[in-house]
Order: sequence, then C-alpha cells, then structure tokens
Amino acid sequence: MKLLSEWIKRMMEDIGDVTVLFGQTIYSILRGRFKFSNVFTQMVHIGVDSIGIAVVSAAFVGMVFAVQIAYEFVKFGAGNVVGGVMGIAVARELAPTLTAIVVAARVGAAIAAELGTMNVTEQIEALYAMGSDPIKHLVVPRFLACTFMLPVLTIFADFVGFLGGYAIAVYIVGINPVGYMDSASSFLSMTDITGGLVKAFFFGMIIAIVACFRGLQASGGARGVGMSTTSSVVTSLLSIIVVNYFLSIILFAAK
Amino acid sequence: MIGDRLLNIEKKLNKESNMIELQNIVKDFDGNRVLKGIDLTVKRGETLAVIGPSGCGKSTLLRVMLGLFQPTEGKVLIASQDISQLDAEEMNEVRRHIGMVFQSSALFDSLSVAENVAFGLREHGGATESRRVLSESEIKKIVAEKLDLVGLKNTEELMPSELSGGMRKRVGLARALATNPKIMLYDEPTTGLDPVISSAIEDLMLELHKMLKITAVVVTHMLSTVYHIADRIVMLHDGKLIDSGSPEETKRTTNPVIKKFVTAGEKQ
Repeated sequence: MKLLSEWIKRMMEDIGDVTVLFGQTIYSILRGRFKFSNVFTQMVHIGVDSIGIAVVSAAFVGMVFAVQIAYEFVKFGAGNVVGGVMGIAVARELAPTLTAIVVAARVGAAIAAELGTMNVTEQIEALYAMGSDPIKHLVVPRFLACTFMLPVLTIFADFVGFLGGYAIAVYIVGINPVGYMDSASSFLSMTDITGGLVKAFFFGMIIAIVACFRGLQASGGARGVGMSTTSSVVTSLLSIIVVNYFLSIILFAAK
Repeated sequence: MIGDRLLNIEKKLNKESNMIELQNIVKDFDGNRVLKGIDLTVKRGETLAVIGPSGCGKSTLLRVMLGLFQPTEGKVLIASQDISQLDAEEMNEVRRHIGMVFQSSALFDSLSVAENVAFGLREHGGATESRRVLSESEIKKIVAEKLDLVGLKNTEELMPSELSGGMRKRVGLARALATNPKIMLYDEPTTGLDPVISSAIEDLMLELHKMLKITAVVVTHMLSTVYHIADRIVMLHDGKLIDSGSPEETKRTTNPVIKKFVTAGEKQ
C-alpha cells in the first residue's frame, strides 16, 4: 500500500513537472526564444533520418493488415470494401500510431540519452552558468522538430501503408485493383487523413516533451542515463496509446 | 526599462569593492544540512581558496554563489546586489560577468572547441561590456585570442572528444574567460591532472588574475594549487567555514582541523 501511494505521488509530481516544462517551452516559443538553425538541424535528425524506418514499418504493417482482413472479407463476399477499410485504418490509426511508436523508440530514446548525458556531465549546469537557458537551446528545437516532423512522416506512412495493403490485396489475395481504389476513394474522406495528422501532431509533442523531461531529470551517471532513456520510451509509448484513444473519440467517434 | 536595469548591474560589478557576499547561507538536500550558516566576503581582485575534504559541500557553495542552487536560508550578494531579488534576465546578466570552470570541464560535446569558446559571446548576441553586439569575425578573433591565452593555438576545429584532460580544462578556462568576466569560479581546476599540467594551469590562472584583475574563488582539495594561487584560504568543515588566512598563515596554523587537513595534504 505504501509503495502504491509513493508510486502515485511520484507520478503526480512527474505530471506536474512535465506540465511546467511544457508551459515553459510554449512560453519560449511564443517569445521567439530559439534559433531556427537549431530547429532545422533537429528536423533533419528527427524527421529526415527517420523516414526509412517509418516507411519500412508502415509498409509491413499495411501488408500484414491486408493479409488479415482481405481473406476474411473475401470469404464473406465483401472483397470490394477492402480498399476502403485499409484506407481508413491506415489513415486514422495505423500510420499515425505506428509512426509515433517508431519515432518514440528511435528519437525519444536518443533525446533522453543525449540530454541525460549532458546533465550528468555538468553540461546543462554549464548552460545555466553561462547565463543561458537549456529550454531555449535544447528543448524548444527538439519540441518543434518532433511536433512538425511527425505529421510529415505520417504522410509518408499513409502512402506506403496503403500501397503495402494494395500489393497484398491485389497481387496475393486477388482483389480487383479498380475495386480496391474505388472503395478507398468512396470510404476515405479528407477528415480521416487530417484527423490522423492531428494525432501525429499531438504524439510528436508527447515524444519530445517526455524525452526532454526524462533527459533533464537524469542523475547518477551512466546508470541514471540508462534509466531515463528506458523511462522516456515507456512513458512515451503509454502516453501515446492512452492519448490515441481519447483523440480517436474526439476526432472520429461523432462521424 | 530592461536595458537600464542590466546596465545598472554592470555598473555595480565595475564599482563595488565587495564582489561576493554570503550572509548566513544554509543549504539542505533531502533533509541533510550541507551548509550550516556560511558568512563570507570576497573582495575585488582577491583570490579566495575554499579547501576541505571531498563531499564536504565546497561545490555546493560555489553553485550557491552562482545562483545555480537556491539557498535554504540566507542571502547571496554579487556586487552588493541580492541575487534572490533578480528576475531571470537580470540573473543571466549577472552570470554573464561570472566565468565558471567545472570539475569535469563540462564542454559541450556536440560543439567544436571554437564553438564552445564562442558560446557565451553568441548567447548574449556577442554583447560586450557596453552591450555592443559583436560581428562573427570579431567573435572569431576573440576565440583565437582566448585559445592562445590558454596555450591552445590552432585547436579551433577540434571536438572535445579529441582533447586530453588538461586540454579540456584549458578550453573550459578559455570559454569562461571569453566574455571577460569580473569574477571567476573554479571547481577543482587541477584535480585529476598530472603535476606538470596542474602547475601549468595554476600559473595560467595566476597570470590571468593579475592581468585581467579578476576576483576568483577556487574550490579544491589540492593544497599545491591553493598555496600557489590563493591570497586567502578558508576551510569548509562540517558545513561551516573556518578562516585560515594567507597560505603562509595556513602552513603555520594551530587550528587542529586545518592542521590535520594540511598535514595530510602535504604528505601526498
């Protein structure tokens, strides 16, 4: 019981501290306290360098999803709606969520490890000592890059995931390609795609702020950096899964 | 007016005779009292050494002076200005005039030697004492000058990972000196270095203090460093400071706590 209450207390403290960091980050952005060159560097690192892993993941998840649904739909004589179901599933859920998971593992871990190492080697303290602000130098560029690059990566994942599904449905299961595309165009609306991108926008914020928070919180040498990195990935993934549910309700349930 | 307030801080740093004053500083960590009522004044141009065994709170004291740690009780005055009264911008202005050399050098891994040294200049828009903004070519010139000063000419393009421990310390020193600080704080500047490099860094510190008329606080447990560069020595023991006087007075001290530390240190 005591352990549970301590865990809840620690979690509430963390939520409070993350909220404060988020507020400070937004304040710095609104005051223009950041360098575009730093944001650009992070955009390349977070976005461009993640395209390969995001695209490969999206392709295989699209293909697996097609394998799972296409045969079953054909069995029930609903093969002509596979394209539509694929399109909606990829745009609303698979592409944004999977891309966020991949980026949380690749980029979130890297951010937490980098900032954690800077923290335990006194580099963060050196920034303060030089009259500088670690939020401006370290958090804001990563936050902006992650928030704006995740929707871009999701657009790639949308295309590739959908095409992966197309390849399986058409060439393996034998669904009519025109029927696949027709059902996709009649089922899929623009709001499905934009809704997915809105999700990606929020997931990007979560990954960056959690990773920066865990990195800045790191203490106690290499072990502390390792713990903060693991904690960053776990917290990001859990947050993404939980937030995804609520965003799905808000964005798509009313439709 | 922000500009006026910042200029006012700069004026005080140029004028006041008491550069650092600690008034009854108490600092607790998780219920553990590390500093138990510290009173200390560092005069303009003075080099004060704070000695004491590892883990006694010397580095904490340095961080309290720089406002990196908020004291649990007491006041920190920099050039007679209570730093607890300053907002973030004013505090950054105070820090612009204070250089700190870290025990681990704390160089930014992802930046080259030149970018590390130039960091403070770029951070403040390259502002000089009169807050004139420096051009990139002027910054480059200052970086080269400071690196030359610490004996590291033509190392601008190297990355911190390519430097030895002694070189890292010297780059840390050049970075701290880049903004022409009025006050220098050193956290174990020679710990972990061989005697030759230690001696070279001590000579450098001494020369810089004389040349640039810098007020300095050196926190260390290395007696060789203390005897070489300090004007005055204080010892931190059990969370309190014991004034030990000049290096000569410290060598002849009758205080049993200081004597024990000094005797043990001299045997090393």
